[in-house]
Amino acid sequence: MAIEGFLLPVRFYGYDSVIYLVSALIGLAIAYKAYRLYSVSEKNQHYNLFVGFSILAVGLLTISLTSAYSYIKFFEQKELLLFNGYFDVADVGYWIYFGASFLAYWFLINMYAPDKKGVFLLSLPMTFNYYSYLNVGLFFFALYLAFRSAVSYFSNKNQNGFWVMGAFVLMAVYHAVLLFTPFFKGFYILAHVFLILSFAFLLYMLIRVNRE
Amino acid sequence: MIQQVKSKWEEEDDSRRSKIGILVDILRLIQKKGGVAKPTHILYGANLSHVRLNKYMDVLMEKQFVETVNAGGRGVYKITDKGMEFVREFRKVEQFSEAFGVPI
Repeated sequence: MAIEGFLLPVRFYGYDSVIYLVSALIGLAIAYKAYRLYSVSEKNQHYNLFVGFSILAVGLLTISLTSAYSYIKFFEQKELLLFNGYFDVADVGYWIYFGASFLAYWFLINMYAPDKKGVFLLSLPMTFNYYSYLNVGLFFFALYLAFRSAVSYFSNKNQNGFWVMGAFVLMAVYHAVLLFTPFFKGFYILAHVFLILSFAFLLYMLIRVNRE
Repeated sequence: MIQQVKSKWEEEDDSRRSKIGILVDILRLIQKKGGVAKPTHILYGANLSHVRLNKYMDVLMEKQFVETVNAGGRGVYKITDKGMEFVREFRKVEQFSEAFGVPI
């Protein structure tokens, strides 16, 4: 369970909620632009980009709200806010977030590999170690996206493509660093720095595109 | 025979170039010519048959992206402000698309 202080330092409580919220808003901006792109091109690949970022943004928004609510209740009541007597509210938020991330990455992978339908959607068991299991899966998904965007960037040297590649690389690093949080709580903070940087890259790309 | 091959080539060409891409190409071509272009210049520049070009020009006229003006007794196409705005907006969407490596 994320909130118990096993994975994150108490001083960082709430900051991660803000990072998720900002990332979600940037994700929504990307999804909106992708929707405009799809309405012009009507290409399935652009539809996948739109749906992928929409789902990712919804997932991030959910974890942002549930974790913030959970922190507030935790500081008020000095105990975990249980959802069903066993899992806390933040856990439910994490499940939705992880589920949304898998689905979102699946759509984004299909954007790059439209011929291979549903390439390798992993089905991982929901256990108490779900945090690690799911992050391993998401890491590989993000790594694939980073690889495909890198191939695209190095083939046409598009400056905006560089920022997209950077964003996917940072997303992969975010999931990878999260795996080490049981060993050192500081990794939780570091991982979220990578997450916000990843979306900052996307935001910068979006600003560049709109400015030109 | 030549006409058949040409039509076939044009069909293939159109499937590669999206319709929206062709419309934007025509608008960019007129822009390059200083905002006003003769039909023959567009014809050769856009690499389209006369019939096909007319269809695209009808769409552009209908959307008020171009208008016909008289220049020296001949009708020429002029890109409108709305047309130029469309090209600008399309460029942004195009760049966004290219950033993800999935061009329009």
